Amino acid sequence: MVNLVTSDNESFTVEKAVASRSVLIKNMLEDVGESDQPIPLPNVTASVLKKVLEYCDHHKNEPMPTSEDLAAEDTRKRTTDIGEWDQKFIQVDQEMLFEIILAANYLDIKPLLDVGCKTVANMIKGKTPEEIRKLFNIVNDFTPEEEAQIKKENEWAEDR
Amino acid sequence: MEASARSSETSPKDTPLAALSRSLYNASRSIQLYATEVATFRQEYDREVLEGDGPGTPHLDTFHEIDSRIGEIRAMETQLVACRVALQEFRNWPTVLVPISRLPPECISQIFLMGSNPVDQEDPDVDQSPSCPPRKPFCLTVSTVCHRWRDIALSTPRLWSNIEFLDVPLFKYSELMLERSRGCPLYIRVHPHLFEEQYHITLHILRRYISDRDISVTVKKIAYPGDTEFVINQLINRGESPPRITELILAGEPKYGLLRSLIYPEGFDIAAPLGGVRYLSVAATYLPRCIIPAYADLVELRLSGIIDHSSTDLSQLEEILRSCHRLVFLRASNVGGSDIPPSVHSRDPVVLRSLQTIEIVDAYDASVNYFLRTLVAPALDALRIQGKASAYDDNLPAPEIGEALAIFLATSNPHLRSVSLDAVEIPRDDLVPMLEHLPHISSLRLSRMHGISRFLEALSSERLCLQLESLVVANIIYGHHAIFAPLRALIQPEDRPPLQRLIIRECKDFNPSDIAWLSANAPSFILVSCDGLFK
Repeated sequence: MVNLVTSDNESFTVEKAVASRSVLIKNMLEDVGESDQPIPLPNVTASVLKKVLEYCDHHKNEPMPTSEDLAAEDTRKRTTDIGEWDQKFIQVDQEMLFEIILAANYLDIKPLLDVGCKTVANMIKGKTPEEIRKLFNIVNDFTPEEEAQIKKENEWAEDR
Repeated sequence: MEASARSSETSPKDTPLAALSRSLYNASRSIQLYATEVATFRQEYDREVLEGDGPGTPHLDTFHEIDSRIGEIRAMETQLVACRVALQEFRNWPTVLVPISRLPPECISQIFLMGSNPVDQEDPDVDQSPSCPPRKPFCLTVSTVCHRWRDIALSTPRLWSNIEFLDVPLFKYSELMLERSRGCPLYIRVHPHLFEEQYHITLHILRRYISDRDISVTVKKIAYPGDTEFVINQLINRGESPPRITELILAGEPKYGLLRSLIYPEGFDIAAPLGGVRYLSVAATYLPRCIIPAYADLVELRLSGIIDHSSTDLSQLEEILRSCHRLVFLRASNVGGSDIPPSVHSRDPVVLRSLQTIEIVDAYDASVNYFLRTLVAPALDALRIQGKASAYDDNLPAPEIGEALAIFLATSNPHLRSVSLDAVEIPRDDLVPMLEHLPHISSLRLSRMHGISRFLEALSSERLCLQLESLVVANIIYGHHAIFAPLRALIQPEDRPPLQRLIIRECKDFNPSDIAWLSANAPSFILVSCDGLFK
């Protein structure tokens, strides 16, 4: 078993197979060898780690992505399809969704990072820039001159 | 200046800014008035010189005054720029606070790449004919949301590397994307349906950008013999090396349906030999024989919906396969008709020494038997065979592949690790001889098979496939009750290693008590999409 300590000082004791879905933790475990020392995760809060561990537990028996898998994603095989379980898992509010992505990035859990990024990509797809700004509460910070330039650049698409 | 015009739109918080704006407006007006006065003075001076009254010269202090004002204005400009930066940061502050802004650029970039996936754009329900303009490219949308997203988008060349050439008005934007994609590999889709002149413009633009990078070319809606060769020829700059086409994806136009054949159209040659094509996908069109030299480097070959029943076509396919010395992955989907005569089976087998994976899917009996009797794969690691799924669903006979599969396995790699059989049947007498050729198999998937219980019984009772670790049973409609006993024997065996993993998916009629037993006793047991059975 592995003991993980979050930024808000909460401890989680999990199976090694679950914790090792994180390449960061897996490498730490390999570096320190057999030890009872807790592993501090200063960038992850308890509520987020709980979610991340739920994902890791569900996928603990699946093969880790190989370098070939990662290379394949660089090419045409990229897709925004998300598995059934993962879709239900990632149905969370925006705040939690981005926290999960940040945690997956920090903990180096590529499949979880992909699920998060695909979810956001699917939220964006088919929307106009204004709809995207509204969705994520983003301020349009282009100057009128920049807006005009961008509009000119994209005028063919605006007419569609 | 439009300070007065905009004053009605400003909020109380903007009052100091509005006052500042007004003072700038007044300064600007003063400079303009001064410039008018100087111009008037100059006109008077010119008239005095012409009328001979003698020149009157500006006092020296006037120049000092102007120089001093220029210095002040420059200082004001510097201050204004600083004010603008501060105001911009102030304006962006809410963006910094929103959750998505906490994501680092590499995550945003990854999101953009996920969203720009070309595979998702191949929506069959969307009319992609030239008369129907495409949707606004994803990369253009995300690059116009805010400064941060624009900077990230422009710093992600791969985002701009999926380019679909359609009609003329889009060409300059395709060129914009080609520029922004910088040196990264390109994924280009072209339609031979374009009018000839437009097509030349497309290819002319492409030629300027492809000489120094890997490119993936998709030619869609091929309708006429020679379309593929025409596209490739136009990409070649005369006197230069051929383009580095690493992927070639050819798709026929289903509406025409006339090129479901391998027969090579005579009279169409490619000007320069292509090399380096590692991935080739051919769907519902002909497989260009003219690039046979390129097949020597093929790593992955996907054929779909080609060859009806011509033995000439099959001999050409064999010729092409023989040239694929580095082929690692072969997928043949719906290749070959239902009536390939046994005489077509090659007397001289096609040996693919690098081949690791074969997938023969959506295939008729004759087609599966043809491939199994023709190919030899001494390095094979995974084999997948799928008959016509609809036959099983309609309770019709599935392809019998037992004898051919046993022959194939006898000549292929004895260390084969993974086998998937779907909607095919293996007669009882062929089961044991076939399984004896799989001593090292670790993963087995059985789907849509009438004889699945016989299969599992043979496995459990004959001490065959002793290295089997993972078993998937899927899409079973008939005979669930007969499957449980051999499954149980594989999970708690007396004289063989037990299964390490069992997955049952899409099987709705299992007895719940059997599932409960499996859940309690099978290691890593997973039940997928078996509604109503088990929670």
